[in-house]
Amino acid sequence: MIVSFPHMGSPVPYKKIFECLGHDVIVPPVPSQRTIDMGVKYSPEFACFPFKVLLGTYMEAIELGAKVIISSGGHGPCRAGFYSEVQQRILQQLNMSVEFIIFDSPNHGGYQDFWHNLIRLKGKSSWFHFMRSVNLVYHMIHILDQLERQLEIKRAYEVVPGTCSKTWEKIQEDFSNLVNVSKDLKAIENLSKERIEKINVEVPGEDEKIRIGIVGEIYVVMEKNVNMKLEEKLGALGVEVERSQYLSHWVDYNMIPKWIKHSHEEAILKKGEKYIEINIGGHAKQTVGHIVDYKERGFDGIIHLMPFACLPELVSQSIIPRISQELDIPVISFSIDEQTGLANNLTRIEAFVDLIRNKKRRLIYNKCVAGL
Amino acid sequence: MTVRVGIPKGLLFYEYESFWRVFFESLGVEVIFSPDTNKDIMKNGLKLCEEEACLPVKIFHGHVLELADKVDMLFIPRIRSLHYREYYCPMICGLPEMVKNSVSLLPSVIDDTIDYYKHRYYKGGVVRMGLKISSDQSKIKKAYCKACKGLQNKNDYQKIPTDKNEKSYTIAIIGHTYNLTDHYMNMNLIKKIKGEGFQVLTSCMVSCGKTQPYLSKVPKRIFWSCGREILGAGLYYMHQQNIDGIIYVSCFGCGVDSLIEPYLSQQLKKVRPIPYLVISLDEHTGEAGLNTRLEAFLDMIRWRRSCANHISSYGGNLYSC
Ligand code: SF4
Ligand code: SF4
Repeated sequence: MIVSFPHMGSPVPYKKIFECLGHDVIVPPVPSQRTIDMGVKYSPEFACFPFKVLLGTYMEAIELGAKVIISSGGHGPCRAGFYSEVQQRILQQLNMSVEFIIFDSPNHGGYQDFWHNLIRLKGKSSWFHFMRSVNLVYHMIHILDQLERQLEIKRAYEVVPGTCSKTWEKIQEDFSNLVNVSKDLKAIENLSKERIEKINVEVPGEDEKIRIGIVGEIYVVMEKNVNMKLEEKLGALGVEVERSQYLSHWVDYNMIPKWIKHSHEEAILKKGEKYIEINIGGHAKQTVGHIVDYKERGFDGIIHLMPFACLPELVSQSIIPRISQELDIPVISFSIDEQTGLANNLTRIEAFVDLIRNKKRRLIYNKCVAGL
Repeated sequence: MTVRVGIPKGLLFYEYESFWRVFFESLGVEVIFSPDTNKDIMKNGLKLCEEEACLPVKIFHGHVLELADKVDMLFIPRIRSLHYREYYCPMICGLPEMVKNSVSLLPSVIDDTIDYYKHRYYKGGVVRMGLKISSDQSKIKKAYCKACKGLQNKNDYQKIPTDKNEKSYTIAIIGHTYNLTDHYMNMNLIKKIKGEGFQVLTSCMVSCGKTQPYLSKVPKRIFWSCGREILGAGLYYMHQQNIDGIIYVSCFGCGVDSLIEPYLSQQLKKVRPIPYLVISLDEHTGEAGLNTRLEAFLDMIRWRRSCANHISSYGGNLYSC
């Protein structure tokens, strides 16, 4: 099969697993203005923003010759579960028919479809090989996320701007080209760690550090090409960043049965309970849960990203002022749509960082004065 | 003094009005509804609510404000699911949260969860709500049973006229119940169509059993109750020979409509291309614009019938099934 997949975070793990299983993989171009424009043009007006970008991505993948698109679905109250049905029909009308293989989380029923999809994905390879590949990629996802975490912190203090981003590119390349069996993982991981070690940094005192958490809907949080490369931007401003969404968390929460492993997400959901009692779909509850979590862990501020017309995030957005007040943590929301350019929002981001920095300085100053 | 419970006239109110009225009245409280939507309610709602939210949710905020200083308790249930393996839309699931944080100075709110998906029964949630008013469990359970009886009478679905009357036309109007029943929001759409001599059927008039055969052919199970009702009704009416046209009433910012509507319209094109009109309600829609579109649509239906008497000018017969 000639398969393709949508971007969300680093494309390496997706590419790897399909390659391991003997499929031809087409990596679609990263979402650009063209992608977004195409998606917006053919999508229903009030479809949420990820829907539109994904549609654009699929169109670009089809242009490059993809025949099968593999993506994830959902049964939740939110729309993601119904995305592919509509996208498939839109593409048909444009004479760009492709086949979709949609993985729904088996944790919420639908084992049969899941099984069926697995068999298709497995193709001609043996079950043994299949399990080995899944295992490889599963560990790879975890390692990559850890490395990325380190870079997100280092980026704030790099001496030469852009070194961390370049290193991240290199690391992804290494994993993509050099890892073929589980044995390689360790070596490449060490190599990458060395690379990260080598980055020159100037770390300021603990009092000067600023930490910001990015929360919100998974797609806009994870895909840097639609969220104005927010992480890199914040890094350049000297801010340590942590995202609320990582692929490894998502996989643990959605794909691993609960009796095998309790995921990080469950703990987060618990923390959100006070503000949103029930799971209302999307990532609204995670959003509020993460805000509470970040506050507990001593972060200085939160950036909340919501796609245009995202229903669950609208609910969380309306609660955020209260949380921000109760927990005394500054929060700023960005609604992401096709017009969201960095240019329009840069000043807001900078002002927000300044605000946090001043607040922190004042706090420390007050403490010193009180100490005297 | 009796406790006054306020029920805002918006969203699911239209479907379960009788249930809650009977339930609360049996508990011995006074039930107060907000008035029908009017200009002020709409205006207040738009002011209070997030800008990107859908129109019915905005209007709901207006209703809440209207009641806020007139009652002792507000009834805004958190309805997550009312049917097997189905949900309501995220906005409805998170409605109490939204309202409580957008409208200030609210009286206490009855906001317990009804989650059929997880618990498989309604009674628990309803009883929990009752406990906020009375501590007498058996009284609450009795009230619940009484309210349920009222609900069963509601399901008198209307039949589609079977005789093909030369003179009369039948139009199916589909959309969320609140879009169809809030006459201020939809600018008296149904009355207007009836005034032109058309018969009107709505999506609330089709029973589950009738839509099921059509829905089972949809590859992905629809997991929103409201979406299922609308799409089911749409597909059902589409296959009825006596329906001359379909109007889809959607509204600004609705996430469910945004995916269900394209699906339905594609299906219509493929299976039976009858006249089809999408009306998207938003706060800026002028009534004049709506009237023009509506008239053009109705004229088209009349005109098609008169031509089709001679030659089939459309694919109705060829594609019918
Ligand atoms: S969470 Fe938001 S963006 Fe994602 S499917 Fe739901 S509405 Fe769309
Ligand atoms: S179903 Fe649509 S109209 Fe109804 S609350 Fe949800 S978004 Fe709003």
